[in-house]
Amino acid sequence: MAAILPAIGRHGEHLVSQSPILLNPTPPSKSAHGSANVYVHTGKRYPSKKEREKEQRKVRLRAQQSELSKNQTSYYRNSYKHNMCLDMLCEGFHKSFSELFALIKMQNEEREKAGPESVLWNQELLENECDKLDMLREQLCLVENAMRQGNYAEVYTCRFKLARYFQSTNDKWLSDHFFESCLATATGIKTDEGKMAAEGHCNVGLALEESGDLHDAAKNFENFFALTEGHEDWIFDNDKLMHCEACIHLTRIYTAISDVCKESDLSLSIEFLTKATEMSLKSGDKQLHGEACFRLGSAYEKNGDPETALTYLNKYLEICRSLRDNAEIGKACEAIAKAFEKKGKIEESIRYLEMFVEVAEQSQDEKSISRACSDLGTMFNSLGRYDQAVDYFNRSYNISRSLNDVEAISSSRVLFGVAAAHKMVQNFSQHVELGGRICMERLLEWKDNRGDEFDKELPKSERILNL
Amino acid sequence: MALNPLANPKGVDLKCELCQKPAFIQCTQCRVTYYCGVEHQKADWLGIHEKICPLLVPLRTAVPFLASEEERQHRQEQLLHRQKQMIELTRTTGQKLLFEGKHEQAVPAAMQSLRFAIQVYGLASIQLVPSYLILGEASIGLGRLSQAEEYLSQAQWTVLKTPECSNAIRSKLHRNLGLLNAAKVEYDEALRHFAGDIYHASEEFGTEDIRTSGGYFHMANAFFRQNKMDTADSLYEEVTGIWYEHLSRLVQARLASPATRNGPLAGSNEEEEEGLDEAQEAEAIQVLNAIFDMRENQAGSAPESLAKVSHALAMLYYLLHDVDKAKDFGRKGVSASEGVQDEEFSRSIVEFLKVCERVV
Repeated sequence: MAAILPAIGRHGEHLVSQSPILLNPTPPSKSAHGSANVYVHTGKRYPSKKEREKEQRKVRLRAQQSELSKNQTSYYRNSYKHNMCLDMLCEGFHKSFSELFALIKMQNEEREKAGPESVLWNQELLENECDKLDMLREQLCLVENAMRQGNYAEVYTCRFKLARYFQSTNDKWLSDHFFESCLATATGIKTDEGKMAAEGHCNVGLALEESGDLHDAAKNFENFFALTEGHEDWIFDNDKLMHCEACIHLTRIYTAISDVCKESDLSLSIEFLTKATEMSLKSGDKQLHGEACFRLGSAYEKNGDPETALTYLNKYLEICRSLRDNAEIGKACEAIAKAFEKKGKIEESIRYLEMFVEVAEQSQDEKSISRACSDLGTMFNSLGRYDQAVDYFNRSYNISRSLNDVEAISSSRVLFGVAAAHKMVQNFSQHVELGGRICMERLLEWKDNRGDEFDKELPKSERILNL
Repeated sequence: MALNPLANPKGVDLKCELCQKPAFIQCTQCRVTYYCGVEHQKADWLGIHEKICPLLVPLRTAVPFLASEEERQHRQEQLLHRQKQMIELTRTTGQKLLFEGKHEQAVPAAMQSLRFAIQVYGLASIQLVPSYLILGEASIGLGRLSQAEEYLSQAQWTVLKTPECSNAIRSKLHRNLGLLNAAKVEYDEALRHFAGDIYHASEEFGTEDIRTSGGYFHMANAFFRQNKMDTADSLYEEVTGIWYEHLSRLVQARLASPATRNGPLAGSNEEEEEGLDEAQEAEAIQVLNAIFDMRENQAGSAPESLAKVSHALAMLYYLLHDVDKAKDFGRKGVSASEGVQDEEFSRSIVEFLKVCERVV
């Protein structure tokens, strides 16, 4: 049985002269006829000379142009992304293709989800950015090649390069993606005892931190830390010790987390600060450790546990002393004083505040002096030692005036006034009570000119008279 | 029933259904179809006429005189509706015959569908493309490459002129063009077309869909012929992976609802469960068996690839209710997976095998 396949031409003239393919593709017309031979077919009118010349010119020009191959025409016809995907597939890099395709699709979907009102809508789409696509293609193909050869270190470096590249172009979602894939690759590499995995965790952690996902970032940093433990000699490309970096990152992330939960749950916040302090100790960075201690101490103090606060703050003070950083010492003294105050040990508190003033004077830090003085003044004021209070407030007031710090001036002015009034009020009321002539004169004098003569010894007669 | 062309009424020119030459016999049942000889009648009967014989009568008998405009319009609509149904029917038949590998028989059906499509949609319509594609594929299958090229070029031109053409059609067109070029041993060109197929299919279905996997498979074959083994290997791996995922999803779905399937609610459940249609079944069998054979004969191939493809085949036969074959492949999978480190994978095969045992 052999049914002869019918030739295609038999169904009608619609089956085509091939000539239209040489033309630029025109939008679909209602008739299937090519437009080039219209005159010949219709035969209604012989074309005028002008038209014939035009037609001839067209043919001549076309003959001059080299004929394009199918691939070349498709470059004109398809989008850049389309062509790139085709090239990639033709070279056999299908994994790169699906990854790239998935990335582009993901961006489109997110854009659709965000809607036309959002920032995402107006962002340039990845599929229209040729440079980035080229970079992606080049590196992904390298990755796939390396994958086939089982060279995972190469895979890692390529992905890492991509991640860095997109970091530099501010495409966070892409750099995140590649950092994550870096990590996935690195965890498969067993030969280097996990150095790459450690680096991967570090990068993912940093990326997550940047996008605000602190807890996940902390988890990654913890992995990073665990992997580097026992390998203190590992270094990054920029000559930083990995283990040390891990501690620093962890300290920072724990502090950040504790900051977040400071308002809602102070004890949780303290827990994280304790972790941060431990990590900072391991990092070997004294200043970092000191700061961590200070933060922890302050948190304890706020939580109503001045005893524990003091131990940490003292540690902080010690570190500051060893670093000879006067400003920090001052800060430590201030915090310790506050803790003592809370504990009720006013004397101790005053001692540390005085130390604070001293340190501040040494370092010529006017602002700190002013603050220290005002603290001291407040302390004395509450103790009822108004003379000293007035002294310190006066000093604080003068310093703020010389610094021309409006806010400080007004606050210290008020405090100064209050202390001065406190100081005066005892004598003043005594005078009112006695009510003799001299007393009255002094009172009037004060009323008139604000001359303060209440301190002066009263003549004996006045006193006796009233007693 | 015999005819004599000279005895036809003036102006009536009866032609053979298949080759358009003057007709000498008539179908005795519908009396509206003519052939040049018994040979063509037989071919048409096997291909499509058996199914559409009675349906052709209302389409081909002369229009009776209808008095009112309304009636004429009604008849027109009815005709159009019938024609569309015919397109659908003939096309499905042709497609099915193609999947069964009966290229010869698919031709009459495709021709019929093309004829109706031209009647309904006109000559330059995109609706004609599926018919051209079936014809093209049948021609490739029959080894008539120049004819296939003619059909496919026509389809390509139509697609080119229709910018809003769907990605599914484009993908199919590129696949056929790729197959054509592969048959002509022009592998670079073929690869380019398969790449186009994958691209359009991915646009339509996503990169991980079984409808995209066909492109990967053909591409892998082309690379294989070009002796680029590692690329081909990786592509075969991809195809296996896609089918593996899809089949295990289907198996899971079936295992999850065994009671409802046999129960009174079986009918209502049918729609939710995505199954394999006939074409996909045929494709799965063909593709997976090809990969399996290749893996088995390949000396240096990794055991996990063989294990995976065996498992996929076992699942496929399980889904097709061919438990013996499923068990057979399951066992092969287990033996292959002994060298594999991935514990979870080995366990999944063993578990699956247990499920098969229970079915009996």
